[in-house]
Amino acid sequence: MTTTDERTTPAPTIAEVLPLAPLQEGLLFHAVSEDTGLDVYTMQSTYRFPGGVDEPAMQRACESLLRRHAVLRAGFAHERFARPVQFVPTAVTVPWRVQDLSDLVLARPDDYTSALDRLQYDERQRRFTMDRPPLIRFVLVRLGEQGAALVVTNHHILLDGWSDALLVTELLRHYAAGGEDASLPPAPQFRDYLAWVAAQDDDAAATAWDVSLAGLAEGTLVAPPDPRRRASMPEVVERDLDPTLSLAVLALARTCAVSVSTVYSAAWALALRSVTGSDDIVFGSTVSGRPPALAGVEEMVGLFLNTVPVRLATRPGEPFRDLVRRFQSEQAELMDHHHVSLGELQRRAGVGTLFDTLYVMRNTPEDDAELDRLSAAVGLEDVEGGDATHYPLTFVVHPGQPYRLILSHRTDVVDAARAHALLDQVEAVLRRAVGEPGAPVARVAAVTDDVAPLLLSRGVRSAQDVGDDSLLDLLDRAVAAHPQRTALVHGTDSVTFARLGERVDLLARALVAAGAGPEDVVALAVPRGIDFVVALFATLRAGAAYVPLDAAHPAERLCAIVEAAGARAVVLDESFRGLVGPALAGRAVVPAPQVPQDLQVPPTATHRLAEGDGPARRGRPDLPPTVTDAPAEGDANPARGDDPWPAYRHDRLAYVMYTSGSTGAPKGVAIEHGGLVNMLRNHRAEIFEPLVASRPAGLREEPVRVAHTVSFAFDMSWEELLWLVDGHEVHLLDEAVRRDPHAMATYCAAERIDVVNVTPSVCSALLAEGLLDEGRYRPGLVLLGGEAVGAEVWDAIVATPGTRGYNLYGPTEYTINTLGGGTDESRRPTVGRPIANTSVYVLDSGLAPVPDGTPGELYVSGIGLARGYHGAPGLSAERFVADPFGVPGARMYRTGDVVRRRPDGQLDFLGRSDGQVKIRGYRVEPGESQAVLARDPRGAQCAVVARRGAGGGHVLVGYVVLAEGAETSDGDPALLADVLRTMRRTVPDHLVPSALVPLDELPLTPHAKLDVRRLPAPDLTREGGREPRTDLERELCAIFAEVLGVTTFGADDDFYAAGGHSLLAMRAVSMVRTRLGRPLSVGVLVTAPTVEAIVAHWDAPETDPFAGTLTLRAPAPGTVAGTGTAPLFCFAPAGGLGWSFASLVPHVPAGTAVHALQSPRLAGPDGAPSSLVDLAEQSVRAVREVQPRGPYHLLGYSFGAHLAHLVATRLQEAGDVVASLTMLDAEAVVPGVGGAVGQDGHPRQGNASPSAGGGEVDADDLASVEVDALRSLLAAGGADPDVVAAPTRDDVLDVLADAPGAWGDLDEDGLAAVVDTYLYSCDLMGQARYTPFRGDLLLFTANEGADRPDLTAQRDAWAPHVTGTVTQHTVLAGHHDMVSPAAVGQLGPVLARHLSQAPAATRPSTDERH
Amino acid sequence: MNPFDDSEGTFLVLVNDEQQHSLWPEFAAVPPGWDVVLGASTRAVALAYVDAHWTDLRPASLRRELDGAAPSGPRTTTTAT
Repeated sequence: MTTTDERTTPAPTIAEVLPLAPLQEGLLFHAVSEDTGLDVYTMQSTYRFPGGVDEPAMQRACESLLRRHAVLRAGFAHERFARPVQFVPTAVTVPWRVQDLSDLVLARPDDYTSALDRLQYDERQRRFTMDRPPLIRFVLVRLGEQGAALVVTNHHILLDGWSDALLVTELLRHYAAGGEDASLPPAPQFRDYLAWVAAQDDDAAATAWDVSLAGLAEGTLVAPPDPRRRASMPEVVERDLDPTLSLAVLALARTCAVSVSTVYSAAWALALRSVTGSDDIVFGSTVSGRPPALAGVEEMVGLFLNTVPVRLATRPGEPFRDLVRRFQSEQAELMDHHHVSLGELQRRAGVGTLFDTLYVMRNTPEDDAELDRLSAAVGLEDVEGGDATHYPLTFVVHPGQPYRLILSHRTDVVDAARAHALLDQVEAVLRRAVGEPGAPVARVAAVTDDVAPLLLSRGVRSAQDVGDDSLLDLLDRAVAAHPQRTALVHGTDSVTFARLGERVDLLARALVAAGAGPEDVVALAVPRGIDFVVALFATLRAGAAYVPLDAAHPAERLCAIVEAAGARAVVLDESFRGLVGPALAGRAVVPAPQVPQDLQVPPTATHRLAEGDGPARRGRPDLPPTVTDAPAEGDANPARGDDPWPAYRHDRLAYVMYTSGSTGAPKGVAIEHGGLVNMLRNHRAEIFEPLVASRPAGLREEPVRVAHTVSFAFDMSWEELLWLVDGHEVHLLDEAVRRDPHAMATYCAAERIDVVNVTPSVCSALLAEGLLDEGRYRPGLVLLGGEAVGAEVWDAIVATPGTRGYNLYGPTEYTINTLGGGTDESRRPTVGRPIANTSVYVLDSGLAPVPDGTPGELYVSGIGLARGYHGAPGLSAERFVADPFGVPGARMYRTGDVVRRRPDGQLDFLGRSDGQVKIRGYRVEPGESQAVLARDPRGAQCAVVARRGAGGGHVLVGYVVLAEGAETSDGDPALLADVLRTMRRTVPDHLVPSALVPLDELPLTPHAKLDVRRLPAPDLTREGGREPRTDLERELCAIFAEVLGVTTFGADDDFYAAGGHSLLAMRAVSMVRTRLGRPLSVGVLVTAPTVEAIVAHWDAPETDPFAGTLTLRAPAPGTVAGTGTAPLFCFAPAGGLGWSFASLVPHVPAGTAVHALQSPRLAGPDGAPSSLVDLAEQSVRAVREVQPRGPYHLLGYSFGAHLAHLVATRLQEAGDVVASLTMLDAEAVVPGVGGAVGQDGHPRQGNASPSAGGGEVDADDLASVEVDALRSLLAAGGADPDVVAAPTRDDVLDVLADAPGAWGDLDEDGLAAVVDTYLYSCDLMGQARYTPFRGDLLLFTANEGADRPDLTAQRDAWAPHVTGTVTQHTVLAGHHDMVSPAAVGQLGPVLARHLSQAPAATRPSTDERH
Repeated sequence: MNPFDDSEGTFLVLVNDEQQHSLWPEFAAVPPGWDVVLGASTRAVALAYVDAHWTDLRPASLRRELDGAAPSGPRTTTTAT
């Protein structure tokens, strides 16, 4: 049935080797990079001849074509050439095949077409081999009575559509002439065009394209680039335009004096705008590529066609008429430069793939009169062609009466429905444009009128009544319902609801008395703790609004906030006086409630009694008199029933929170009450009740325990307070605990926390610390907020049975939350749906809703809307704007967040429309940082941009052009470091760039704007960092480099200077713990931020583990003994070693030296004093050796506590000032009861010891004491003390050798020395006799597992031995773990406060007054 | 770019019943419940108008109630800085 001449060709003679035309390069790339399967650049045309064909004549005609046009014989090679080439053999055998379908036509005259289809399909599927020319083949199909068909299949690389039309014309002429039309003039050759391209001025072309693409931020892609996507034949949706519209478009083009194609391509651009949500549109356009200047170009066969990027930057306000005129003139500038290859243009634009859609205006000469005439002459009736592209979308406009719109779409990327919607959009744009050419783009390009209301309605939550109650009314109800329930827990502090209510009322009265009322602002200069919560609610009760102050921020910033807020009153904790002092003038100052510590002397006042006490009965004999310039809480004691509270309205101001503002000053978001009440009602239904319902039946009436981990300077801190208002138990995690994921996770498990509210970053760190591990008490609810949630965190929560995650999204400008969604509602992270009484709109730049799936900016409206920016009307009016979709007169806030609505109605957060970023959870406008940097006179010009650190988060990077004369002898680095130091004094750390890069000039775009893309990436590591020397250093450097996302990290590089921040520090610490098994706390990393310092920290005790005095932090250089801050002396526990006090160092106020005193018994029995009194005397001498005169801070741990007390009283007797005395888990010895350190190292109870009196220990006891000593040693060495039931010295040596602690190197003798010292200390302890210490005692008691029954025993035992107050805090840790990172995380901040306040708070001894 | 951020855009200033002010791009229809108090202007001019005329950010109804009630002392009024 088949005859064929097709056969392999012998090696041809090569006539010429030529470069490739621009588009040929691209097609060759596609062909060779995807060399199996369908090549979409296979073109095919089928010509039908109903009257049949003279086959030999047709074959000769085809051969004539290849003979005349060299390009049809070309092959393509790339592998052995620097650039790919095309080579043209002198002659080729023309692939010609005859397929006879006559029998089929005869048998099934109605159905033969499917056989023809099949043949065409097979021909398209057969790939050409690019270096085996010719890349064209012919199949003549005999169709019996139906005549014949010629199927021509070729690779697109040979010719374009224009050439195709030329060829068919020529083919018909040859055929008509019997095989060759000798009358034709010589054919112009493609090589002339290639020569023309080579002669073009590359610079002029480059400049023209640079201008066209300048400032483009990204390409326009309807689908993310996917290298795995295989080519496929697209499907097509098409429609004829309404003839009236078709004509109107022609008229519009005439009126505007632009080409018809300009109008259609503008319509296409605006349709893409609505699909992609971008105003700056780029699409591909095929251009004829035939330069008019080239003679004969119109008759040339070849691939002239090129695809070039067409950019249309739209602005919503521009009238359509102006848009198309501008568009045409911009494109005209490029007319002479259409030959530049797309690859080259993409490289120049530098934003990756520029487009993935194509616009084609069919403009081929195929309907030429000549073709018509010839067709009639040879009996050609029908031409059908098919070609494909790899672009997801190709929009083809077919001129005609009417015009036809064709959209070919790859079904794997764009389905038919979406394709139809796109054509609808194109049509809508055209219709509106012809109707009103002067209408702005915003209106012309808006979504079609029928879908807009549907899109808007998806973001509207129906109105619900929030009632008239205030949040305080609701809190009152909780107080009334559960007066004895614990409301707040903070360390060892706690209050019941009854007590909370009283304290709130008392402070509120003081505030009212100080003149604070509705619409007044009260600044809360109060540290994190119960006092803060009391102050917050008291302010609201007084009718005023609070502004929180964060002690971590520079004083200048805090004062600026107090000033900007126009605070009428300040609730002041003395620890803030140094920070806000200058801003207090002219404001009422109300002392923060001076909370009696729960466990203060007189010891008869137990915690429980104090709880139930009325405020008036709370005696505070311990408090030093404080100067109060307003009625203090304790003095108020007003009669009940004369409530001064002002009438409540939902629209009264509740709080003002300051957040980064791009102008260089923070902006205060002013929030009213109504949103808070609404939030509570929403959360009850969406969050609280589902959690409670998920609990076992017996627990449903019980309060939920909620961990409060978020700074009060964030509105996210309200989440936990809403639980409080609803009657649940809120644990305020201390600063140190909430910053240490290990401590936080430990706390959550130990305190059986049910709800945590954290940022996703912190959550990630908590997960690494085992928060949701099996077998521990796991929270049933993890609230996430503050930043975008990653899939990792989301998935981990989803995978935890019994735990629900709930993401809460909302800018500060919309009270706390706007959207919420649970892990049970979405498999991917989501910001969820609007909360009650809230509407969200996803709008384009023209304020029209965007279709689902299209990115748009989120606008929010509803009861939670902020009033505006405090004291900034202009800023308020441009950010809180009229809401065109809500009730008349409503406002909406434009968030700047870019989101996309999913088909299920949930919103995905995609990023920011501006430069705002989150850094460590803080909202940061790089503009604010830049504005502050610009104030430094040493910089002439500057820029600050946010960059992605490889660690995942953002970092700020500053760029400066130094002012003339700003160079210093130290060179730029020192100067730049000083510029950053200067910034750090005025703004919080998160606004200070991580790196400052000096530049000779700022790079600008052709439009003279900052060219962010040309700013060099900073080297966040210091150059010349020391190479690590040991394996340990190498591993640490590797961990830091990984965490920071840098390639190398030197042993002496500063973690923080290299871009590290607290979240990264958490990650680093976790990695050190898990990979190296070594303990490292965030606190240690702060004071020892280099690898060598950390190693030194670990190694420190090993240098001389038994020295009498270890200096853990040296005095500040230049400090003369006795003139600086009092040093802190830490007395070692029974084992005698004091190096582990190093973990306290980060909490000791800067400038305070820290020394550990170790037992002299470590050095052997000879030098050791034989009595406790002598040991105390020797210790006094050791102290004086370091610093001859006081004041001194003293701290003792266990046995060391007794020693510290004895040393303290001796120093006082000698006339020295002891500024503070602190004890870690020690019980005063009762004379005659004896006993020293009992089981597990706990001070033994009197009745538990058989040995009375000091010094004598019987044999059994000796053995048990040795076991205690060894266990204690295990614990202190970082090993599990229970690893062996009754350890021997050998056991301990074995275990410690492998333990993570620094005692791994302790040898047998060393261990023996420690055990002996332990026994020695136990011996001496019973001798303790105390004289009262004149001053206060800070006592930390170990409370392992929270079940120690005799918590107050220690306090009671010490109370007689001090003249001042015993302030007791329990620490969730074992006796041996009191200086572990987790314990220090809890006690450190308390100690820090104590040490910094001590000089003022401690009464000097009488001696000293002289 | 958000239309409200367009430094080259043309803006109106609108006011609602609560005397709250809003910048508004000229190209968009004025939403119901809002009156134009400043016609087409540059962004800077529109912002200056707001700063000059919206001197009390409190909603007008709240202001009326608070100012109408007998004040117990001098009130702090939020004003433009």
